[in-house]
Amino acid sequence: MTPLLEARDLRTTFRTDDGVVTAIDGISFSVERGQTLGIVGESGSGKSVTSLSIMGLLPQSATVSGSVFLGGRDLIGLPDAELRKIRGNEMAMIFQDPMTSLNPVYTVGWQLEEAIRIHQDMNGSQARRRSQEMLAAVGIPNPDDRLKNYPHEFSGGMRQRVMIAMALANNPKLLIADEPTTALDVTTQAQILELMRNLRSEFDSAIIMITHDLGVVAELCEEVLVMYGGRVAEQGPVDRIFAQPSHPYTWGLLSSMPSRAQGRDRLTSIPGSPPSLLYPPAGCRFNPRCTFVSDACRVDPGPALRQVEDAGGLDHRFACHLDAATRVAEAARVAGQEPAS
Amino acid sequence: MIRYAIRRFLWGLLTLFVLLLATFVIFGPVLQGQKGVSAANTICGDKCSPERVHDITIFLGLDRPWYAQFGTYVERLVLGPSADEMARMCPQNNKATTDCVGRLGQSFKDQRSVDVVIGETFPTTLSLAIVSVIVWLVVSFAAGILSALRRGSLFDRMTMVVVLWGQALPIYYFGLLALWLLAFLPNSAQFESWFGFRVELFPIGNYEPLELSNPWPWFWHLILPAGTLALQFAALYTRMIRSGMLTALGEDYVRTARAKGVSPRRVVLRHAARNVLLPIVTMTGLDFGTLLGGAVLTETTFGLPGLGRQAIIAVGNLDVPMTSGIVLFAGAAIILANIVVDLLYATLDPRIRLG
Ligand SMILES: Nc1ncnc2c1ncn2[C@@H]1O[C@H](COP(=O)(O)OP(=O)(O)O)[C@@H](O)[C@H]1O
Ligand SMILES: [Mg+2]
Repeated sequence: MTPLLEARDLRTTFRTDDGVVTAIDGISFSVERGQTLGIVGESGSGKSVTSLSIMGLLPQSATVSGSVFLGGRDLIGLPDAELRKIRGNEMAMIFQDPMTSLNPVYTVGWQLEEAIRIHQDMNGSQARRRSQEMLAAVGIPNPDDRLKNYPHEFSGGMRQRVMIAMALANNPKLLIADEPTTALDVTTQAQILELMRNLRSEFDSAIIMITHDLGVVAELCEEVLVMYGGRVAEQGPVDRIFAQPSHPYTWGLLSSMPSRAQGRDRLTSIPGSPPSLLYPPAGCRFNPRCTFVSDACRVDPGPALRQVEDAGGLDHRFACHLDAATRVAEAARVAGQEPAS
Repeated sequence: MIRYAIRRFLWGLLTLFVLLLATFVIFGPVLQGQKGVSAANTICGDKCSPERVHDITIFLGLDRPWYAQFGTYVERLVLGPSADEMARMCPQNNKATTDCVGRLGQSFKDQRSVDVVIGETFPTTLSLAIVSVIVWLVVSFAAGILSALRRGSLFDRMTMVVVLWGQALPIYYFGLLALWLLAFLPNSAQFESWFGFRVELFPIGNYEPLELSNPWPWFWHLILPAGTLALQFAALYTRMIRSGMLTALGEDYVRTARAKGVSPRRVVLRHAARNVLLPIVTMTGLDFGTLLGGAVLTETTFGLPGLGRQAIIAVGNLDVPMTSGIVLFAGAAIILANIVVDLLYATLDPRIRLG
């Protein structure tokens, strides 16, 4: 069966005053129906640009190449009028900052009904009823009254619920969530994740869950894509990657997970900062920060994405020159830090 | 909302009272006259009878301390001139008495009621303000939104150049240029010698009252002055709307709207422009209120008999009651505009909490 969404060699560049920025440098992945794919990476690794490329929401200065098939149709190069029928309908998106993502001058009901009536042939009262249902589904009390409220009358967590309600109102096959909990406090984060987990089964939408937190991936996702500097460092089934992480960047991310740091003295964060995409380092994007770097890592085009040797038939790929023995030993060490959970 | 409106209105009244006091303090000393010479004498001129000087002295309360003068002033404003005052100040009795004394007093110059003069000149000013506010809003919304959408395009650049001109050129310069090019030249002998005909494209100055059955002459007389006045505002507003639109179009909620599948047109007009509307409503209200006090330069350049030109004439004549009356009227217009703007803003922006 063909996957619901399949991205092939997706590449996104921006024209800027300083030159061309290659924000996404040829990534491929797929999402099966009803499945959840996690995309992780530090900020600046190209996660948001990936999602906006799929949605066709990038500014004029962006150029996207490659292809993104959704239900057999390539979204890249689709005229905006066509894409508009898909956006908010077959695929929907929620964003990082719920405080600014809703229009301050319209009621929540107005904005929900707008989302519904763009894609569904409903009259006002039908759309209203649907909006109510949706608010109830995302756990907002008194939906009838709340529809008349303006965004500023909701808390951050409640606004994110509204965003989720709006995104799911047309039963999209794919929901893209770009760091939906990053801007929220810890308790609210947990509630929103819980909600998304429940809604996933209720609405049967596939989800692309973008996060910089591997903990979220562990809780919610089946597959994961580890991005660094606009490229894929490692990708595969979540269990596999937690059991046998194969890229030094993934090791870094795992070692900096708070839940895994329990029992150890301190969190180890990855030293250094993500690369400039305007002047990226030659070879592997991660080489300036990598403990295991060798001369081969500094040679363009950098390590190719390839299968992990003993993946047992699963599709687990990584992009690193490190020799197999060291890699396996280090993978075992990093995976072993984890307190059994 | 009602409570807010009432409170806002009471504040307006208080402001008005302060304004009243201020005009009295500023213009009052002029009435005190020079040492030994009664101001009433100065006002009335050389050929004035002693009776007349006496009447003026009583009317203005010049024989009493300043606070009593202020009391009379406020009392007359609130209650209107008494029958006694009217009889005193309209001795010739050849006109209706209300024509010679009003709540704002009597003009030094021609013994007419300040109220009546304001009543005669205000329609001109109001017409000018209305036509130009419409012109500048239409122009600046169209130009501002379009240039924001086509940022960096030829249209955008040209708009910005025109905006710069509009803001840099003084009204009298642009007004005279427009008058000469569009009104005077096409109707001149010179023009006839060139083209063999002449045409009265636009009138040279003057005002025509509005006739509802045929509004054209009214409008025709207002096109050039209102256009000139509007140019200044249009320039500023276009820039504001353009930058407001650019900001709004970059906001997260616009991205959300696009992610929902909203059409570009609707994104611009319903989502972005609606947010730009708020500051523009405020600015428009205040600018309109200011214009109601008279557009001095425009009215003078185009010879429109409005409040602004009347104010200049009054100042030239040292006509204290007329000047202070117009100042008070203009101030009241601004205070009222402020109240209206605040109420409008409160209804338009849901984020404002009233209480
Ligand atoms: N509009 C843009 N113009 C130029 N460069 C951009 C633009 N948007 C994103 N980028 C580049 O893409 C990189 C990745 O951005 P983003 O996808 O937002 O990262 P992430 O979501 O992983 O934190 C940024 O570091 C920046 O260099
Ligand atoms: Mg991001």
